[in-house]
Amino acid sequence: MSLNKKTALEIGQMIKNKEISSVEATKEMLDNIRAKDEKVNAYVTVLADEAIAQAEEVQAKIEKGDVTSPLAGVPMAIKDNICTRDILTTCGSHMLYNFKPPYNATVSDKLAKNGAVVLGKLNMDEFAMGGSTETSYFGPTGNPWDITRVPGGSSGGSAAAVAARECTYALGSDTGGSIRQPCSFCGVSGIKPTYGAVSRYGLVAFASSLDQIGPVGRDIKDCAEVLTMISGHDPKDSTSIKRAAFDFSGCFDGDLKGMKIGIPVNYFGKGLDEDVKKPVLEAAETLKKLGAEIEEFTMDIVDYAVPTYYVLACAEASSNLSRYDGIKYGYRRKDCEDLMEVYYTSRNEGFGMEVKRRIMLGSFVLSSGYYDAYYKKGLQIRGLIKKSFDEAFEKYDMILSPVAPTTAYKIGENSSDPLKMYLGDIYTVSINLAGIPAVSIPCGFGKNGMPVGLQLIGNVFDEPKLVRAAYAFQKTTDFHTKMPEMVQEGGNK
Amino acid sequence: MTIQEKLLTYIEENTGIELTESLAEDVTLRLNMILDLIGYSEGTAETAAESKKAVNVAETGIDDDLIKYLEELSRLSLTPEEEERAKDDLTKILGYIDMLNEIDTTDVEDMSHPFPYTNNFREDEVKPSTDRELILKNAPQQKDGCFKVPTTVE
Repeated sequence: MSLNKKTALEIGQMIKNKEISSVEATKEMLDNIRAKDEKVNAYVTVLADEAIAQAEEVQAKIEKGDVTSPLAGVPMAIKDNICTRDILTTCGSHMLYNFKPPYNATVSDKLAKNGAVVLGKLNMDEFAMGGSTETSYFGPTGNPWDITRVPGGSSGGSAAAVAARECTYALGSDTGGSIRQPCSFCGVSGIKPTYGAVSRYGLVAFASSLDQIGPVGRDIKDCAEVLTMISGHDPKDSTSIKRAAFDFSGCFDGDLKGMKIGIPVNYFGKGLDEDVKKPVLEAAETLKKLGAEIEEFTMDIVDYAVPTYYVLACAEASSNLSRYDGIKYGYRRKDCEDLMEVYYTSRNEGFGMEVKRRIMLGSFVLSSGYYDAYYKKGLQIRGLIKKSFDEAFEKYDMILSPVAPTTAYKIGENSSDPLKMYLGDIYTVSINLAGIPAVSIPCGFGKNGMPVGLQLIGNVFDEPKLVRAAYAFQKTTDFHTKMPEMVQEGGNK
Repeated sequence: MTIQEKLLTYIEENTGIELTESLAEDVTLRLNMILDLIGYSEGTAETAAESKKAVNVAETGIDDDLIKYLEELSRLSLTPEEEERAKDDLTKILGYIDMLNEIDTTDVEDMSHPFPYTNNFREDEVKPSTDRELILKNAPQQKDGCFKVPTTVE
């Protein structure tokens, strides 16, 4: 049986109905990984035997009625910056090439409790710093739609694995667009939740005030189910918000009457590819036909989001990554004469160039003499960005925009120009700065055949509104059901 | 670089005029006259440059001293090639970030966290911590239940 066309929830239902066992579903995904991952390189670690053993265990629990989650027994995979006990968690870095966490991230525990079967750990830009999954120590991931192109990043492995049907759904993380942009590039759906909605305990820290874990899936319904599973207060994360897990049960009627959607006109100006602009504006028309009111407005301050983001994210990164000293875990340069040499050489050989660049930029903006001009200024503009979102949400239920200015580009095309790479984050970083949620769903294809994503941005904890709109859109369109050629070929067995 | 050399490079880079030896001499002569007139000396210039460093880096770029300082702050030791690349990239990035100065932020409050945020304290209960052996499993080197490092005290 081919599960290629099934969503995670459909597979979960099939397991409940005994049409297929968790072990069979897991074996099929492992077959897909064997067939495709040599090309795609979505996985850093594949847990072939462990996954089958886990599936057997979960299957028994399902049969006894001990696990009742709609996704129980469904095989999935986890981005490699989320800690999994005794399972390699590399962050795509030489620095953590051998790191096996002694504990589970809270989300890993929640997955286990709900009977998820973990197929492996997914590739990513080193320490989640990048938008193309090219900076991984374990080699770049290819886009299943065209293997010579990037899958986006930093959760490129997560989006590519879902698109290539090498897993049914995945967890990613989003600091400045790292879930949404790869979803756009690979034609899959994803949610960047409200800051504090999902516990960050066990997520390897990049920029702590911006990082959030979220789902990547074949459609928004799968993503909503996964978000329900992983959200909720966690005493182990002091920034986790005291609030119950999400309930999306009332969001799937396809009705958008009375919903007000704002379109920031300055998101559609210079720098946006026609290939992206067209399907995104057509998507707005579709939502209008479904009953939503669409109105244009301006939001000038977001033009300053990218420089603000890089000041703040790098500042936080330089501080967070100071923990890698070659002493307690991870890479250590051998035969050092003294402690300073251990620090300097281990860090220099353990980190890749993009990570070093960001650590140095962060050290710079925090250093004496520059702090006020850069870091403090960044924090102030962050406040202004948040304020302009607050104002927009007084008028609109949500904001509609592109996810990225282009479709997936060729591997190597932008990797030598960091600034050009940073500008690719123009539509996504302001969401993290403001701490608000956004979804990315497929809304068409460019002339090059590459998928295009639509971003819907909501106010704090307005995920249900976003899911409602995204579901209504997917109910009347079929972009999210399209599959790359490599899947169609492999799917006719 | 002396101020005379700086001016010559500045002229060449910004006007595209190639300075012949006699032209260069002429420019230097005139500059020296101006410098004499205002009582300039290299020493005073350096102190002034030091105090102005913070505001000017976006224009002047990252120089050798600053990149070495950033390496030290970051506990990194780049190769000469990496240093050149980092200088170039960081100068470009900072030049771009400079656009933040277009926005007036007088009286705007800092926002370091997405929400008004108070610390979430847990109950002060005694709970078992992670086993020492488990933690040490990841240590690059260990001895007698401790992390081992090179000699730090003679």
